[in-house]
Amino acid sequence: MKRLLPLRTQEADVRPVFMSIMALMFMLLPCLLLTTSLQKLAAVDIQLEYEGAATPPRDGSTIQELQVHVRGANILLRAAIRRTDLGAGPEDITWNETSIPPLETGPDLATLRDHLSAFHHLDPQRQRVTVLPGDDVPTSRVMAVLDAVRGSTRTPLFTQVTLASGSDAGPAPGTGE
Amino acid sequence: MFQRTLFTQRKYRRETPGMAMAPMVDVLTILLVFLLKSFSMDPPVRPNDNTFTLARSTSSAQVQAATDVDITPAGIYVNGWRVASTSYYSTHDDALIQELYERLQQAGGGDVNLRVDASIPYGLVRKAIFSLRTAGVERLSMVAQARESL
Repeated sequence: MKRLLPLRTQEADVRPVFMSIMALMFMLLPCLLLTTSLQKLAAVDIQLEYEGAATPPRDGSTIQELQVHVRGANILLRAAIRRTDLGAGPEDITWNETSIPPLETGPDLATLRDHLSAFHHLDPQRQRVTVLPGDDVPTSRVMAVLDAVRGSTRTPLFTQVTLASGSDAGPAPGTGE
Repeated sequence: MFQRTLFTQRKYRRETPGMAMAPMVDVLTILLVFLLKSFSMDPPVRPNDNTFTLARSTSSAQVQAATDVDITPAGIYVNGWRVASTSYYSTHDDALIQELYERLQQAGGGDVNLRVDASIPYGLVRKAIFSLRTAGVERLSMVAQARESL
């Protein structure tokens, strides 16, 4: 059967389309490079402890106090856990101390995260933690510990972080300092 | 015979510049996505101080507008103005950074973004936080470099 119009067998030339995309990208790239900053900033909110607010209210929560002491590359985790046995009163607490030895590269933040995750499962309502770094600990390490304590966006741990300041930044118990 | 075959193949090889452009577009697309992902309108923290380096953090929270307190190896600054010496307060036992306290108290406390060089020991940061909270600062954020930074 004879076609009314001849069948077009020649393929369309794609080069002009590619050229327009390339031109658009070459225009976008300098614009982005001019307006962008190499540094993206992020904020880490710190709770400020005022006089009289240093001790959290003794409610019915399992964990009454949670502290992360940083001394050099050593980390000491202290938790005041409310006793739940029948003879225990509301004020009876047990201090649980866990020392996390450092790795060759620095503090063992993965183990710290594991321990904190266990505490978070024990008392999911608790959001508050106090971080007590030593005076010689660099800020970069403090920030790494804060990240470990706060957890990730998928698995948040303790989001209300207090950094020790003033008289509450005493030496860590059991460290011999 | 062998030479003739080679010559024939070279003669009929077709150049297709349109096809060579495809990988270039791919590369540019990847570059564009990478730049868009790391796009930031944040101004440089201390443009005249090349030695100043912020610590890195996994946080993705935006930095809110507030009074900027910078602690660098050279000094302590409030909104870019030098108020105190870092070396003095690093070596002395004063719990309060008097100049910082006075400047923040004059400003009426409020919100503060604390931008500390990554190498500064915590002893000085502790004094700064103590001074800020004594001056009546209500909200404190530590500013860090996001992981997505280039």
